[in-house]
Order: sequence, then structure tokens, then C-alpha cells
Amino acid sequence: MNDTRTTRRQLLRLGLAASSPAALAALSGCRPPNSESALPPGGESPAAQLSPQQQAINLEKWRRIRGKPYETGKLGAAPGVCQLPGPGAKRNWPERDKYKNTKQIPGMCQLCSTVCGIIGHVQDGRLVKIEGNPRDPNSRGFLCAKGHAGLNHLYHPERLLYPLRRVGPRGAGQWKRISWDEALDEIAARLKAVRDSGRLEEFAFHQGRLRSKDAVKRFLNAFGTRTQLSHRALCSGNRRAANLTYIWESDWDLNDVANTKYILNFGSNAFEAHQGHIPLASRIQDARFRNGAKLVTFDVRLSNTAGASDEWHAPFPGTDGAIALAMSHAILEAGLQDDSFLDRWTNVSAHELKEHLAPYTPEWAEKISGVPAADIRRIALEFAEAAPTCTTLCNRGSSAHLNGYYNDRAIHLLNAVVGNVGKKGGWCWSPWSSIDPALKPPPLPPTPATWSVLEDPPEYPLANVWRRMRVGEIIYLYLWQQRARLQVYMTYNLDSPLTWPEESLTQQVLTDEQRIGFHVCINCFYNETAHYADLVLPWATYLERWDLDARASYALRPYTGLRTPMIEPLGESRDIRDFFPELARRIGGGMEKWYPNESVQQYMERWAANVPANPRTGKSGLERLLDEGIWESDRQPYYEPHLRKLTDEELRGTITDPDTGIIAKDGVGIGIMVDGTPLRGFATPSRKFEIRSLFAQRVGRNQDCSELIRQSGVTRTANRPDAHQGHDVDIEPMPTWFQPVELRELSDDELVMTSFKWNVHNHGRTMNLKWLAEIVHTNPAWIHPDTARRLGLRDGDWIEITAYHSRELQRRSPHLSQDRSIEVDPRGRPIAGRLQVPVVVMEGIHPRVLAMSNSCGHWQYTSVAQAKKNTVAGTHLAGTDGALLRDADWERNMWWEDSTGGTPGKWKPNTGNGWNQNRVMPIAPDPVTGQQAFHDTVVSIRKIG
Amino acid sequence: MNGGFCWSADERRATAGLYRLLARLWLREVDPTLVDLLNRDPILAAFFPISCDTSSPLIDAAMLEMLSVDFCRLFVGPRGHRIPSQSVWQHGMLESETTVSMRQWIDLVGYASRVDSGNVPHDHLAVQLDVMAHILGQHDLWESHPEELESLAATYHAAHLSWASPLLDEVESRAETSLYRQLAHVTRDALRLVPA
Repeated sequence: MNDTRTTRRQLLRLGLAASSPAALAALSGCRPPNSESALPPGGESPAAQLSPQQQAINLEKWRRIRGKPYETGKLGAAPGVCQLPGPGAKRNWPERDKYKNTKQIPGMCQLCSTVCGIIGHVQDGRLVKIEGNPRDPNSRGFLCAKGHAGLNHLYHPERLLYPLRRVGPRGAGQWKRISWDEALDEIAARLKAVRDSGRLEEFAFHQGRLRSKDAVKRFLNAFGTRTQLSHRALCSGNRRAANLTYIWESDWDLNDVANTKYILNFGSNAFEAHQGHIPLASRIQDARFRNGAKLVTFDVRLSNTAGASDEWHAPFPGTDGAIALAMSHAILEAGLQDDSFLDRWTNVSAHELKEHLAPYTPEWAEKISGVPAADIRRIALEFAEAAPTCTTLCNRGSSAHLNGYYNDRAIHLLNAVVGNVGKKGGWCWSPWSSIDPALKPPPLPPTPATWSVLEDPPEYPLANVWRRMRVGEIIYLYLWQQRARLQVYMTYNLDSPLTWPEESLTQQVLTDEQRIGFHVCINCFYNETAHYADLVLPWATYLERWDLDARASYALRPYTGLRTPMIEPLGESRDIRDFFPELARRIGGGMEKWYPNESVQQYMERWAANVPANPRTGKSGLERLLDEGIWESDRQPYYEPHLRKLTDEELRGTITDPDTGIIAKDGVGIGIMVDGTPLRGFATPSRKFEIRSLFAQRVGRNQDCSELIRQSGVTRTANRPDAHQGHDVDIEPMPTWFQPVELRELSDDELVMTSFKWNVHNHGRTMNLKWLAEIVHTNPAWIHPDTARRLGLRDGDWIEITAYHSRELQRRSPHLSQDRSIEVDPRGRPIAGRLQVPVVVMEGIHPRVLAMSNSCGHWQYTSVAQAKKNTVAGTHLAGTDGALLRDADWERNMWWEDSTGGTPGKWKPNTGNGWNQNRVMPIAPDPVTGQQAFHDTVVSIRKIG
Repeated sequence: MNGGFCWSADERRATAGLYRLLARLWLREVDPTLVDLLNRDPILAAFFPISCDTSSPLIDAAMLEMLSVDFCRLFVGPRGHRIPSQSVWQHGMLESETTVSMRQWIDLVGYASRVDSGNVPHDHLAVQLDVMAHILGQHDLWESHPEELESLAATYHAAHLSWASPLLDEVESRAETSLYRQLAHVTRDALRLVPA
């Protein structure tokens, strides 16, 4: 039959055979044999309930239209995943009226952590445009390229649409479709077995970007496990811990840049990669254009932020803290410090601080960082003279180091020295890091008491005391070392092989069924994590599901945004809010009682019930959010909260300590008496900005801190558990600084490898989006001309990078090396991995640094992410029938496909999908907080090809 | 094919039956009932040979699994697949305007399949074939208004059944089981029965 065309007669005979009553019965399942449809029963649609007369062709309508009932192309070119204007295409400004007749539905973006308010334009049941929601007080209607590319995400042709079960060995890549019933039954049986075993902590939920915290917490608490794993340590642990050490009540500094006049930026790529993203970047520019604010950036690399700054200085990697301490030294030396703030509102006097900082001179910092002492001194004095309308700014550039905790403490100290803390235009924060606290989710189950070394590793004292930041990068290592085992591992929006250090270790552990008994992956796309799953569940995108969401707002007061389905989820994709209740009922054993019989919308109505009425529309609660998308309370911005006077009501029943002035109620601190006035103070044990942290020191030594916690009033802060005993870490109570030995002794032929992020990508989830991948899709190594000259390298030449494990960590954290066979080179350096990449030679990088962006190097995450027109052998690509179809995407516009397969010597610049830097990045947690040191890896390179 | 429309009632009925069969095969994996049918009916078996030994449940299960895996790899995913939907093949995306167009056609012709439960795109080839089967199955209207029905069917065919050639080529070249190679082959010929 295959070789020749089938004749008309043969086909009609086949059709008659398929029309027999027996055939019709078989084709239609339970459908009666006289039915006209061959398709199987599904949900009863309105059409399915029509009478036979109504099911006939509407000839009257056909006579009226006399043509196709719907003309495609009404909106011009479809906003396809793939369709692009193409090189040389004529570009016009958007037509203003193009979307005026669409239905506008508010939502919240989730293509990065900033979650900007958005509005979706829906026409004919399709989302045709996404733009910013001007009601969002944080993003103010701005939307970045990622946000606009949400259409690519939603309508990607390779989206997961059905549950899948693996066939064959884990990681072999063979799958078959199963029903949701089968999937949920299997997961429930596995989870019941975990419960029956009594080792509830062996069910772990491992999240990537999570914005449905209540839904996950409800499920895990109802189940009874506390093993909720995250990627915070790969992102922001040190910065958060440094903030908390000083002020306890917030882990997030909200530099009031819109009102500032001087921004001292240590390594933050705020215009591209800061978690504040557009809300922060737009305010920085507001300040520069409206206030004449100066932006000074220290960064080893000429990022787009550094390039757009008034001054850029390239220090030696990881020396931000040394520079910052030297600046504090210089300010105190010049007498420009704010004595009033230091003496009244910190727990170290100006005199003590000056003595402490005496060794940290600008000249000392120059030797370490390479930044001239004169510049350090000048910038410090400029900063102080701008006070209080000045602020520091930092992020992963300073914190993702082995000394990152101390870097960020040193940087934040500058704000206390000049007294801009909490001031308008200064260094601010707010206690509201999420939605308005007036909105409480329906009651959650109590937090279980399980403990897992994966969730709370005892080696990292500040990982979980104020917040549960966890230490993400050790999870697979500890599983490898058999310090824990997982019966059920549920991953959610996670791409750990790509984004976690030591890719091969991650792969090994994910493949190992002894270490991970059963792996369920919940994701919108098949990626490098899903590849190692046993079941894959198709997750609804953020444009198809519900949440209440918000970030810490730069407006310094809380707001609440609504994420709502703009269209129904495609295929059989579902959100956890939709299927977790069903799963809980199948598991039973009491879980079901936390899931009343209600729709997701009814749940959201209960959650949003306290949204007040809009006087103009009269709408309140969820109805108001559905209308406006965002609600912002009328609270005052959170400036100088420590100066708020306690009310008589608050003071009733309090006791004031005559020595410290601390005001306590029932033993819990609520304020401090200052010059006879009862003020709120800071939410710390001393009720002051704690330059000296006895708490950090005591926690590091596993000493009881109950009294300090009570004085702070932040009673959710935890002592370290018994399981941490024997794992003492020395934490300096005062801001200080050290340099890892391998950086201190960096030899002439070694470089420090750092990573960075582009404005159009998040770490692991956007390279599948065509509009973004076209802009950035590859990541050759950046090196300085000095390095290039030394090795005879030119643009496009290839190198082999050999990366080494940290010697500092071998001494401080020997547990990282246990049960591992690590290759050592002839000079005794422990090798983490090797990677071959091309280079780009540029002045815009420190001479001792090699930089590669992340986000690249996918090997499973859709054809677009792999820069392949087609992932399979075959003669035809989608839309390549030249006589019939033209798909500009696959055929013409995937211009960056690398036909050489990444062959050194043949590769063409700006082609291919890049390389995963985590192939060679070693696991390197900061010994205090556990944050991964992505910017400290010592490497050597050699020319190849 | 001779390029003529299937004028007789029997021909229309047979063509509708053929399209329904193809629709079912494109829609989802085969199940034991369908395998049994394809094995038992000699005409069906000649077109869609499935070597299933019904006396051995183990072999049957292995065969069904093999077919399921092939179907999944070709049309469901998770990688390198192409959903047999016009939007994907014509516009490189899910749910392009061709989906909206199909919804309008479904409304116009009173197609009452239960596919709009949400789990299959309306411009999936299975739906498109089944809609044509539905049009051809309107026997009374074909008798009373043959020219209008012919015009409607031809217009529909041109809009929604003339795109699939590259898909069929790829399935023929990529399928690892004869069932799906043959499905693509027969579908290509069947689409020529109704001229645009």
C-alpha cells in the first residue's frame, strides 16, 4: 500500500468498511453506531446537546456569507511563536486602533521574578497582545521584552499539553500519553506509600519560580512534609541575610532611587537582571533625568548598566566589600558621617566604628581591588555629601561570592554611616514583600515538624534562621552522598540540570532511582529536568491560571495583583490549584479536609474578599480585581519606620528596660525609649540598626538566641535545631571582609570565571521564546585583550576552559568533597570540569576575568532553545512545502542555527544556542548562608582548534 | 483520483466513513477495540496492518504500547513532535487564526462532536476530517441542495484540508510503525477525494 497511490475505488471500499455498524461502534467508543462523529466522548459541550435539526448545516447563513465564515489575517500577521518580520522587512509603528475592539483582561507576568502587572488583549478567544498594566504601582505600565514574548510562551507549538509517562529507562526520552486520572492515581499511590513509611520528609517539592505559594504550602502541610526546596541560594541568599542581620524585618532593600541623587552600585546589573527589573530600572532613570542623580557602578564587566552609568570601575572579582569598607573609612576619616544616626540608631558608636574601620583604608582596598584609592575616597565623599538622598545598590554581582555575605554587609553599612536609612531618597525597605496583608488566604494546615538535611543543611547557619532560604545547590550533592533519599520528588517550573552548578552530578542523581524513587515533573515545557522524570504533568501557563501576586514595591507600600486566566488552558494543561485538591482527595488520610468542594474562582473570591470597594465603580473583592487587575492600599510609604511613636494602646502593659530602653510587652520587644519618647525602633534585639550582630555570632555557634529573638519582636525567627549541633561556624559580629585563598593567590595564568544575565532572558526558562532567542541565543566567553594577547587569541577563536573547585571551601567546608572522586591536575588543583567555547575579545571586562552569560546551552528545551530548525532527521520542516506554505520562522528566520555543530574552527559568530556554564561551575556555597558563589570560579584556559 | 466530486450518495457515505476512520486514527492512540476492528475486517487490515496476536495478551500489550509511544513521539511530544494542527504547520504556533476559522465552520455546519471539551485544538486534523465527514453525511441536504453543499464542501476543503501535505510527508518519513506510516499515506490520498 505504501508504494503507490491508492485508487479511488480502494479508498471508497475502505470507507464503506469503516462505515459498517461494527466499525462505527469501534470508532466511537460508547457512542451509538448511528452517530455521525467518530470522535470519542469527552465533556458534554453545548453543541453536543443540540437536537438533530440544530445540528444540520445552516444553509441560510452560508447563502449570506457565500464564502469562508472567517477571514484569517484580520489582525495582520499572526503573533506567532515563530513568525518574525525577517531581515530587511519594512517595519512600521503599531497601529493605534489595532486592538481597540479586543477584550482586555488583567493579569500578572511571570516570565521573571518581578511579576509586572499586564493586560491581555483577547479577540475571538485568542490572546493577541500583552501590554503593561498602568495601574500597577510597581511597574507603572512598563513591560519588558520578556513580558511581550508571553505570546510565544502561551502558543509555543512544543508546549506540553498532555500528561506523559516514561517508557523505558529514566532519561532515555521515550514517553507515552496517559490520562490525568492515571497520572493522579499513580502519584497518589506513591505519596500514600510515603505516608505509610512514616518518613514524610522523603517527599520533596522542588520549585523553580513559584508564585502560588499558598497552593504549594497547603498541599505540603496537609501531606505532612516540610521538604520544600527552592533556588534562593542560587540567587539572593547573601543579600537577604545581610539585610536581615542589620534590620531583621525585611530581606529586601528597596532603594528609593526615584527620589535619590546618588546611586552607588556594587555589581548590580539593574538595567537588565535585578529582581526589581523594570520597576527599579525605570526609577533609576527617573532619578537621573529628573533629579540629576549620579550613577556610579563597580562591576567586573561592562554590563548595560555599567555602560549607561556616569562612572564605571572594574574591580578585581569579589572585592566590593573591601571597597565599601574603605569608603566607610574615608567618610569617617573626613568627618562626613551622620553621628546622630550612628550614635542614636545603631548599636555601635561613630567612635567605635572608626576604630573598627581603621585598617580598611582606601589604599588597602586599592591593593586588593585595583580601584585607585583616590577614586574610592572621592566617590565615598560624593556619596556622603549627597546624603540622605543617596543609596547603595547591590545584588548578585556582590553577593554571589564565597565572601558575599560580608560583601553585602560592608555595602549596606555605608547607608548607616551616612544616615540615609529609611529616608526618602535613601536606603529603604518595607515589610511587605508580597500581597497586601489585609488579604489572607483561606486557612492553611499547620506547618509539619519534619526535618530534612536537604531543606535545612546544618552546615549553613544563616540559611534558615530569619527566612527559609535553604541551600539549593547542595541538594543533589547530599543525595549523591546518601545523606538523604527521596521516595517522591515533585519538581515544579524547575530546570535544575541547566541552572544548578555541576550539571553532570545533577544528571547522575536525577537518573538514579535508588536516590530518587519517583519523579513527577510539573512544567509548561519539556526541559532538562522533565527529561529525568517518571511522570510529566502539563502545567497551565501564567496566562491561563489564577493567583494573587505582588512583589515588594518600590512605592514602599503593599499592593495586590490578580493573575487570572485570559484564555482557557490549552490542551489538557492544568494548574496545581486545579489538580492538587483532586490529588489530595485521592491520597486521603485527612488531606482532603483542607480542600473544600469549591472552584478555583470561589477560592480566589474568599482570598480577595477584603479588597475594598472602588468608590467609582462600587466593585470590591475579586470583582474589583477582575476589573482593574491591581489594588493598592492607601497606607503611607514606609519611610523611617523606626521613628514612629508608639500609641498608648501599644504601650499598655509594657515594661521599659532602664539600661537599654527597650520596651517589651509580655517579654517581646515592641519599641525603644529615645530621649523620653517611646518609638518603634528597628525590629532587632537592640531595637537599633545592628552594625554589630551578636545574634549572627551566637547563631553561628549554635548558641541559644531565644532572648535576642524575643527582644526583636520577630518571634518567627528560629534558633538552630538540635540537628545543627556540632556544625559551628564563626560569623564575625562586625562588618568585615576576607578574600578566598584561591583569589588571593591567583596565579598569572589563571582567570576568575563569572556569569551574567541578559535583559531578555531569565536563567533557564526563556530561551524557548523565539522573539527573545533571536536577540540573545549564544554565549561565547568574554576575555580581555591582555588575555587574548597572552594566548594569541582573536574573536571567534576557541578555548578550553578548565575550572577548579575552591581551595577555600576545601578547608572551610570539607563535607562538600566527601564520597567524591575529584580529578586533580599536576599542580594539585581539583578540577570541576572542562568546557570548549569560542571567545569574544573586548576591553569591557576586567583583565583577570572570563565571563559567560547564563540562559544558554539547552539540550532538551524545545527546538527554538536548541537553535534547531528541526530536532529530527527528515526532509520536511514545518511549513516547508514551497508550493503551499511558507513559514517564515523555521525556514528563513532561524538564521542563527549552527550548521557546524559547534565545531572549533568552523563555528560562525552569533550562531548556535551556546553552552551551559554549569557544566564546569563547581558547587560552591558561601559558608555562612549557602548562597552559590557563581562569580568566584578559578579557571585556566588554553587555545584549541 | 479523477478530480470529480463524490456525487452519489454511496460515494459520499463511503467518503464520510473513510474520513471518520482517519479522524479517529489522527485523534488519539489506538485502543484494543480499534485494534480488534483493524485486525478482523480484511479491508481495514489490508490498509492498516497491525500484527497483533490476540491470543497473547502480553504481545497485544507490547504492541499497543509500541503504537502509543510512536503516536506520542510523532504528535504529542514531548520533543521534536509536531501537533497535527493547522496552526502549528501553517503559522508555527498553537491556536492561530485558523483555529478561530474552524470554530466558525463548526458553528456553520452544526458539527456536534464533543471535541470542544478543550483538549484538542479545533484546527487539529482529526477535527477537520471529522467535520468534512459530517458535511458529507448531511444526506438530505445533499439531495435537496447539491450545488450549495458542493460549494460549501469545496470551500471548507480549501480552507482547512489543503495544508497537511508537509505533515504527511514528515509522518511518513518519521513513523516507526507501519500503522502511522500508512495513516499518512492513506490520508494523503483520501484528501484528494474531495477536490478544492
